[in-house]
Amino acid sequence: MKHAFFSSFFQKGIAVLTSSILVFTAFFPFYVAQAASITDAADIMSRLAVNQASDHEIEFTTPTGVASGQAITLTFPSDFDGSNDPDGALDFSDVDFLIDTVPDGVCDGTAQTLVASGASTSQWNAVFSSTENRVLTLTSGGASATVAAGAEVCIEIGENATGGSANSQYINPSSATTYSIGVAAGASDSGNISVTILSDDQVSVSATVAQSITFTISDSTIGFGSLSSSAARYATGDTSGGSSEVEAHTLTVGTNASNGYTLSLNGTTLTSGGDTIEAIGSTNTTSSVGTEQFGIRATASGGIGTVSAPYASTGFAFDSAAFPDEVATATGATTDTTYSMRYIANISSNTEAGSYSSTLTYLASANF
Amino acid sequence: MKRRLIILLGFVLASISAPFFAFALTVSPARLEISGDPGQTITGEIALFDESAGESSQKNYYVSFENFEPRGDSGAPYFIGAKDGLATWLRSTDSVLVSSSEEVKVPFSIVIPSSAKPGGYFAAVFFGTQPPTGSGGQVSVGGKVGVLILLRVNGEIEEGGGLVSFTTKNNLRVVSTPPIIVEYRLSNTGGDRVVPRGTVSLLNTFRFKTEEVNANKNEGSVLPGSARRYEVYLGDERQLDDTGNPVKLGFFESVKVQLKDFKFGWYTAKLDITWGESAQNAKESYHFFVIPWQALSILLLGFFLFGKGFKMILKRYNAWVLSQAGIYNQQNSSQKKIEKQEKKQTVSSTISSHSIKDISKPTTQKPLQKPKRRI
Repeated sequence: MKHAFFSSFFQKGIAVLTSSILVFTAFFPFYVAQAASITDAADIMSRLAVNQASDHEIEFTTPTGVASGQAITLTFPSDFDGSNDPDGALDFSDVDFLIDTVPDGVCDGTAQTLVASGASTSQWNAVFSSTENRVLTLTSGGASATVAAGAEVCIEIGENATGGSANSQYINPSSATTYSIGVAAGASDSGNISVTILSDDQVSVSATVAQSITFTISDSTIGFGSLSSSAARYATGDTSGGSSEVEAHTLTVGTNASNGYTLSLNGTTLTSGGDTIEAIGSTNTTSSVGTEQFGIRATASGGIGTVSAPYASTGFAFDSAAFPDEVATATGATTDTTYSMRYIANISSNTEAGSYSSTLTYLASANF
Repeated sequence: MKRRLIILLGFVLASISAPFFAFALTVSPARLEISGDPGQTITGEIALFDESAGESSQKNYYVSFENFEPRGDSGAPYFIGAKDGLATWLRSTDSVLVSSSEEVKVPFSIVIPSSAKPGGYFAAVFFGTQPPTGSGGQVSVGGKVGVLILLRVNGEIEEGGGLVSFTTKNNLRVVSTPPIIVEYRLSNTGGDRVVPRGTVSLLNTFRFKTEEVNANKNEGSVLPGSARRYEVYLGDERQLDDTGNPVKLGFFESVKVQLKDFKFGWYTAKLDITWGESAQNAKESYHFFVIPWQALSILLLGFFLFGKGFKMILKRYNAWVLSQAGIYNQQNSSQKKIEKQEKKQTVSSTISSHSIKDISKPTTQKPLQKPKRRI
């Protein structure tokens, strides 16, 4: 009996409750908040090493968007420090905020105007709070400061924001592990971004460049042709000689040795058996037609190499007494210097007939 | 067939476009600093690289050795043959075949005799070509490129020498345009080369250090039994001319350099160097004036013209203000009146002073009357 009573009462109660719910929901439909996760979230940091100041480029797509008056909140985990950068504590001026209605994974879009407080309807308040400024809140100032559903948000914090190197940055935690940055956007979207802090994020690269010296001679056979007591002859590369001064060949020297180099000359004057054409001598001397002379001179171009005395002036010299004689030198490391070499030969009317030739050797070496 | 033709054409084009060199060789390292004990054999390698790209034939580079000693005081080597010393202790192959654009490592060894005296020994390993045989009227040119070997035979080595001089280049006491070049000479009477290390600093009129540079940034050595001159630039280095001095600048170029690196007044260059195993030390100072006369003359002219211009503008402005106030003419005429009166007074006082002087006897002066009191 008792059981029947309770059973009937229970059934009636269920029926009343069910019909009440049906009636209520018909007149007052439920609006259930759809909590959604942010998507394509990432934080690109400029440095990952412990205790290093780093820029953050935080990107994510908010499925629901951020309505007028709502906020985006970034919560950095314990040990990130936004208060003790040498450039000062983080504030709104160290942040850039961009909205891209077409997500593309790139930090671009419409730049939003951030203010410290009192945002107008088109601005956002950007406020750092909590211990060591670990929470950044971007609050919409009104109807013109919103994020559309499905838009991509990019928040830059540090020297990557407008202001550059004068901006403050977050200092990374002191422990090398993975950290989670909390993101909340608008009324319902949220998520986390993981970043891994390393004990060392840089690789040392070392290399050694050995010292070297390069020496080039453009032509090893030059010639005067037939010498004359009535006109000076100048050596040419085609060995036929000429009556006016001309470059016979070039020598090129370059080195990365810190002390530079010296180019020296060794050899003999024009010789035919036991007969010689006299070397012009140790001082720079001009051509004297009808007098036996054999000499050289040089001009330099490129690098820091210079022609040494007595070969540098407009006259000629051949200081065989000082051989191997210094022709050119550079006092430090230098790119290639090209020396334009000129040779002169004069004979007198008494010069013995014969086939005269000379062998010269140029020596290039570093200085000590 | 077509492919072969293309390859052949490629070779022909490469050989045409590549410059032909009679001698083109790079050796590395350019300088070797080695130490060893008497009786020891030291081995090493020298890399050769033939720079004559595009040439098909191999070149034969002959290996030779020569001792060297210092030439002058600039750090240039003077090769003196291979009669004794290090040049006779060096061993290597007689010649090396190197193809175009090929690198070849050439081994060498130094067999230090057990009787070798401790100290420094210096020679070069040369790689060169044989000059072609010249015929009538021809000059045959050969090339050699050398690697300097600076050997220290370990043992008890005497050290000696010291600072010979420290001045500005050419002993200048007045410098106008930077860079200021100071030079010092260090002698070495010891048994091995020494490398001085230290600084040259520049102190201005108020004794503040304005610059400090390495006294031997190229790590140059002083060989035994010689002295070496070191040049140190205080300020930006400039291209040198044939005499080893910085190229001369024009007036306005000098002004530009002087204003960029402005120095003016009484300066002191201070040298502080140490060298050798026993850390010998030398300190020296040299005083000189820096007078950037080109820049100063431009500045003075500028100030003068500015002052003149300012004075003229001020005068015109005053005249304009007075004319606006309508008192210019009035003031001008009253000014003239005042000037006339002042002139008259001056004339009369001159006359009266003359008349006083003319009086031979002093006049009896009336006693001063007491002012009457008004009741």
